[in-house]
Amino acid sequence: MKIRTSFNKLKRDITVGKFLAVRELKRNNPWSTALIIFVMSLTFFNMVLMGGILIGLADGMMSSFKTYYSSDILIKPASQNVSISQSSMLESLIKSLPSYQALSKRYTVAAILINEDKVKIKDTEIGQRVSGTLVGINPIEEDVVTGLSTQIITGEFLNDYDTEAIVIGKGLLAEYSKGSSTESRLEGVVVGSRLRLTIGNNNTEVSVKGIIDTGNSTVDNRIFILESTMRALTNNQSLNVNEIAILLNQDSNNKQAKEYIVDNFPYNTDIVVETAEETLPKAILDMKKTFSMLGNIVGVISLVVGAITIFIVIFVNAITRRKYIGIMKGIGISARAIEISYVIQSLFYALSGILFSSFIVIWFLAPWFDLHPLKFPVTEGKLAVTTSGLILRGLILTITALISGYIPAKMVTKQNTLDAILGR
Amino acid sequence: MIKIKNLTKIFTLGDNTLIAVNNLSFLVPSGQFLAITGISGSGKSTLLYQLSLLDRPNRGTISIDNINTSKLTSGERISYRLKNLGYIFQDYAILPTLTAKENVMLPLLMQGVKENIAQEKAKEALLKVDLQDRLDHLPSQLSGGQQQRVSIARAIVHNPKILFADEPTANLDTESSETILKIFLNLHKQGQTIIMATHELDYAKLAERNIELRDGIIIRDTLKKSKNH
Ligand SMILES: Nc1ncnc2c1ncn2[C@@H]1O[C@H](COP(=O)(O)OP(=O)(O)O)[C@@H](O)[C@H]1O
Ligand SMILES: [Mg+2]
Repeated sequence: MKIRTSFNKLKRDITVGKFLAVRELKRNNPWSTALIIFVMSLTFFNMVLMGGILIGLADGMMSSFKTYYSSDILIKPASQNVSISQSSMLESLIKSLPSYQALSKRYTVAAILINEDKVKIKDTEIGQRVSGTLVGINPIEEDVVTGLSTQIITGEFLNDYDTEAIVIGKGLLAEYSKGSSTESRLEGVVVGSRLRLTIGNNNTEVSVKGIIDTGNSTVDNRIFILESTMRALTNNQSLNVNEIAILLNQDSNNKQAKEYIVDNFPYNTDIVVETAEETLPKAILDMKKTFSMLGNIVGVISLVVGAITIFIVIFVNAITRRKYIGIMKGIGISARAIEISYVIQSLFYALSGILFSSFIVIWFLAPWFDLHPLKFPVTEGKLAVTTSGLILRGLILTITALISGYIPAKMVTKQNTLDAILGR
Repeated sequence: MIKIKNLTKIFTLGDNTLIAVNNLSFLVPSGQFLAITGISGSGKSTLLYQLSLLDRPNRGTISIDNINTSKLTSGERISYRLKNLGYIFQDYAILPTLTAKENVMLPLLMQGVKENIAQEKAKEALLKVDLQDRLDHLPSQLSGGQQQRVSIARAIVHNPKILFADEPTANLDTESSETILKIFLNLHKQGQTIIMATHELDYAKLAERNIELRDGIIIRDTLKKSKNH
């Protein structure tokens, strides 16, 4: 019985609160309403955007690693500068994975590229030689796994017959990666340039067939060449490779696949099997953590600003209506109904702001960033906004608005009725 | 019937104490139109605030229809006011963001009356104060006299036991004031108990009974013989 009456009272308070709030909002100065909604939009925008950009950058780094370098699983020898023993046995094991889709075997070796044309022009020129990782691949296999051919910015990717050609990462070329590092880079290299490739005591002349830009610094500092050319150059008859990148079916479990390989390969102590997530350098993971923390800090600051905005708006409104609030209480309107009317108003401001900026973010900014990614030295950043992220931040802002609308309303409604009416 | 006994309201300002209502005892039968008169500062408003439960006296009791209102909690006083009392302030005191009709609906909605019914009742109340053609006007679009009539409609829409009015004509021109008094006389004819404070004797004379205050004390209490209920 008691619960029922208090429920009915609450229902009545809400009805009256809504009645008052709707009319207050409707008959407010539309410009000031628009201004408040605008401020709330900016608040939400800040909460979403800064974090979104920062996390988008970290995501960009992570996904470029996976897409262009490690694929779903990357196998490397346990100790460096050694190849994977029993590579072909491992290969057949990988191909027996239920989720297997494709793999690419890579032979890697440290190499030096020299631009001899450059040397001839000017002896002291520094942009004449660069060292990098030479990667021998089967271009068809590699392209299936990592789609590198789509990232060629000038020229073309290798095909099976390019026995004297290389594809070179933009990180090794001065003209394509300006000023971001003090390491020496080749200058004046274009598609068709002939360079001297040196591995240990062996060298040969190669021509540049394409320049690649994946946004991933590991890949962008590599030199790609046909596996057969490399093998000939190094006199390497061994079929043991240095890296195997494995592409699995979509939605398959990388961890399971990794375990399958480790469990079934007899020489598993000689290899390191890593899922895409595990191959990520710690620096990138740290960066992602730092970036999301920064994003959250910016978000919290905007939230505080938004809360203060709502507080001031409602407080000023309630203070200037102090007399009317007194009169309402005087004729028997409950304080709670009046508080509810202010809470509804602040919720309206917050929700309008949230909707407005979500609309801008989802329909304009996210597509815009997809078309025009932010270029950073290490990677490309897109806007990382998820619906769940928007909803979570929206919820936080809504609750903040609710509290910061309620407090000033409460401060005014709890004043003595007669004092409020008489302006004492 | 309102029974007022030993009603006292004291204001303390520093060392000074001011007895604004001084040990008043009197009865107001149901249906009476009572005017409280007296010069400015004589205690009319203070008395009305006590009677309408807007304020709490220092001493004394007010019983309305055998309910001792001094025993009510503040929550109960609010809901008692909502259901049983109507109050007309000197300066109209209607809400600027609500239309005439919405202002009048408000106390009904607060009592849980459905919106469409509240609308009908508000229209009826506004008809009684001759504002049926101003239902959807905002206060800013109404004259002072019209705003005061909205305020009357709001005070009577829920058929209160007692209608209080504190200087309802003080801010109005003669014509508007007379309209207001006519409305009061009409309500009185229909049995409405009215307690009105005014310093304008011409209007006080129209009431059934006059109580004149000075320094919080009743110095005259006159009843028109012809208008016995
Ligand atoms: N809140 C208050 N504090 C101190 N004195 C007050 C207060 N309210 C009223 N008074 C004093 O009480 C007396 C009666 O005031 P009031 O009831 O307003 O008179 P009236 O309505 O007849 O003009 C006056 O002397 C006034 O100054
Ligand atoms: Mg007065």
